[in-house]
Amino acid sequence: MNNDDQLLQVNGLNIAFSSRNGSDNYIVRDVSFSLNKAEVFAIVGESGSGKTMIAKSLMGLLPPTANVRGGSICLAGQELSTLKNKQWQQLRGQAISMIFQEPMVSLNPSLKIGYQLCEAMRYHTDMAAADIEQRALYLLTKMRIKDPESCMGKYPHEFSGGMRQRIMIASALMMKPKLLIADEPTTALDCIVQKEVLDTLLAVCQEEGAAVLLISHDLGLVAHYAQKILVMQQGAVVEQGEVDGVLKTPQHSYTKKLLAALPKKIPRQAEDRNQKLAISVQDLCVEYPIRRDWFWQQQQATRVLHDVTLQLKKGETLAIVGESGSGKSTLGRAILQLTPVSHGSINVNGVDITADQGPNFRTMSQEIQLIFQDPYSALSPRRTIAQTVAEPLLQQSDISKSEINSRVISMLAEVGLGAEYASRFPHQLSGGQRQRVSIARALINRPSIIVADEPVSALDITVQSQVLKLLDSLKTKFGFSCIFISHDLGVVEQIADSVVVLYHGRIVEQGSNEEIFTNPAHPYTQQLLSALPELRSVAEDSYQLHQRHCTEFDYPEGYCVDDGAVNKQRCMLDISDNHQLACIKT
Amino acid sequence: MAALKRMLSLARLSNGLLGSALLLLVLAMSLLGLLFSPYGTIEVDFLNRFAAPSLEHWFGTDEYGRDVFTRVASGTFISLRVSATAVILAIVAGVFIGAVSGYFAGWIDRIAMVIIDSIMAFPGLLLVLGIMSALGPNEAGVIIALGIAYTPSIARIVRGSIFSLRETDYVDASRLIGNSEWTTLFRHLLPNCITPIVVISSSIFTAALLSETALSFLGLGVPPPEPSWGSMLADSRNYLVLNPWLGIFPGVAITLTLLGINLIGDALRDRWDPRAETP
Repeated sequence: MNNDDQLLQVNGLNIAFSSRNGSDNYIVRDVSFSLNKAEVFAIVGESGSGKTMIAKSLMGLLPPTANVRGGSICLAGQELSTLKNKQWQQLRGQAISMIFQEPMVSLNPSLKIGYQLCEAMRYHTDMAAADIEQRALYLLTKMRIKDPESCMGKYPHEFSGGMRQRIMIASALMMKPKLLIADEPTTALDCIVQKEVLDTLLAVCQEEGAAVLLISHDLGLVAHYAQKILVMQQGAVVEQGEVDGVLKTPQHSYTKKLLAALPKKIPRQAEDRNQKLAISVQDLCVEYPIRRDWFWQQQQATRVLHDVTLQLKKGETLAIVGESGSGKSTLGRAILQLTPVSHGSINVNGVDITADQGPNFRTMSQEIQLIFQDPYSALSPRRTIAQTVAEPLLQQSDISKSEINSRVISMLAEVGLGAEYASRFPHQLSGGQRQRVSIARALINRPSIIVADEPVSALDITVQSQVLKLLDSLKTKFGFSCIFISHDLGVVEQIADSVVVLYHGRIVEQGSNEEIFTNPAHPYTQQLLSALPELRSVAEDSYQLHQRHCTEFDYPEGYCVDDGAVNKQRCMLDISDNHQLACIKT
Repeated sequence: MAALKRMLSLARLSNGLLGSALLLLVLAMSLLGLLFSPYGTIEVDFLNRFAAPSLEHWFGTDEYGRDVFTRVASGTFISLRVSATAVILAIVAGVFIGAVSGYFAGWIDRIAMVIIDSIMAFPGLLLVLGIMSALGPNEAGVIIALGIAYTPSIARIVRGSIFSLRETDYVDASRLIGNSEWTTLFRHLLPNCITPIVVISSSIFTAALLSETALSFLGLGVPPPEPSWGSMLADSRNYLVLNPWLGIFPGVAITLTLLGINLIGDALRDRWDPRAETP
């Protein structure tokens, strides 16, 4: 290996937390790797594997109770593990830069974008203010931000998550750093925005000659963008090498386990479903009131869902797919009566829930339940697991305490938690375990319909596959119908029978799983599918990156593509047996 | 540097211990005093007026010959009883008003906040005086007046907590199960709002104690001849130059009690403040 090319060399790095009673808690153990110039190097692992700590140690940003306990970090000949604060200040921003995971909080909300972008250069160099501004404008244009001049004078809250992340990247690249550390830069973003951000990030880094250290838990992303990969488990390096090689022939069992946990398409038997409908939604419109300034002004509303019509057949899994802001969560909540409906009707198990004046939870609680997205806020922190799971049973007045206890224990066993969890509190459980408790609570009364609002989005990949398997087995056992809301198409491909694609509150395409994924017709669906990097298994334990190719749909006479134009007559076209496409009548 | 840090952390750890020790000291001495004192609280002894502190009269005697130690000890329980009851009243009323107004919002919230804001607009002592002039100068009146004066602070805190928590998922989950809104509020939301209340109740307790003392000082608190620290201080004003013990001992009792309660409150806040990070 040519030593001139080598930018970063890490040898035997150890990081430990020092606790009060003197014992050390090692979170990173004996990690060694090297990074070349202008290369994309990925560190992959689940939460708790230590990958963020490695990134922070490279910047000297470890929390006060953690420090480097041995090993060396060598950046272009300079030893980093022994630097003092003053020396770090010289290095940060200039030689190494970092971008963080949460775009919503990474920019200072009280300062203008222009000020924040130019801050580092003002501090480190003697360049004239006009030159610094020129460089900022150049980078903003490179990151494909429209109208960079006006962007400089705006505040962060005026931008969306993807744009804030791009601005963050621009500010990190201002000083032409040799190394850019990206700590899960797109985890909080939707897949289309994710693709845009990463494409621009890597293009600009290539141009500026910066190496990128990409930290992620998403193997598909890593396969698409990185050249080298390092797999970490519990603070230790498990495997490293060229990306293609590691994916094709993974050596370590943990790598194989990670790859096996990726959602994959399971061939579904075409079940003969009886045509009874569990849920029927007709022309549903939901509006949110806009805050008015004076009480005499007319109340205005913004429409979140437009004329949504869909059906859920008994026993099937219907996936609702869309990006944030598409209205999928609102649709789920409307079906559960948590959000008021302005037009249209929803029929659940034969009951029209939009007919009454107010929400009727008591009767519906036995028919339909919800599994929440965030396992951390779905359980009340001050109630034990047993109390949380038993609560739906308290509605029945004639049930004895011992029966409640036995049902709670058996339900916990169904979701894979032993009886010892019953007296614990939520903060003592991991994310995956909390989600299982959530599932137990939803299913204890055996409702016939479950709405799962992104139940696995907040979980690690191995935990995700376990929870999905659990849901699948419970569905087979208890026989409920399921509405699965998600933005992750890989997961949807694995578990859904039918798919509905939402865009800006409208259904743009719906159909069976095979139809949508093999013949996507709407341009938005095609964009979603092509933004999803897919790792396909080519042989036992061997994976390769697979690109989807989508052909443009050939519209019949009198119809054209639905591009969101207003005041046009819309209709749903039946493309084939199980496939409908929204289009505009010309 | 590290040694200094360790000393400071040691000092912080014993905030609670120090505070509890002070409070226990005052309580223990008062209890002992009341149980074993050979003198009554209002027993006069004209032959022994203004006696200096001695072995017979530990804190001396006052202008009527009454034993100061017994009177201070008795005053402890009166003051603590009045302030504790007032604080409990304030907490109960404040939590209810804050919870209902924070959870149901809308016009209930508007009306409740107008009432709360009006109460807060009056300077504390003035408000208490006003209420007492209507209720009359008795112990119940003092308790009710002080309770009303401190209800707004608790109501606002509870309302703020409820506002921040009412959009969480477990509230929706509780509704979906079929629980009524009241059940959701009292079973799920309120237990999660208790921590800031516990933390602020110690400062409200000290404020109430001080207010009760001030009222007695002005002659508007618990009426004589029941001994109260404030009235003892007021009476001692005329004789302070020659007989300072008449003012020193009640004053020291007030100081130690308030300091003890404050330190306990600090220790509770250090442990339970939700914004403090756990190491």
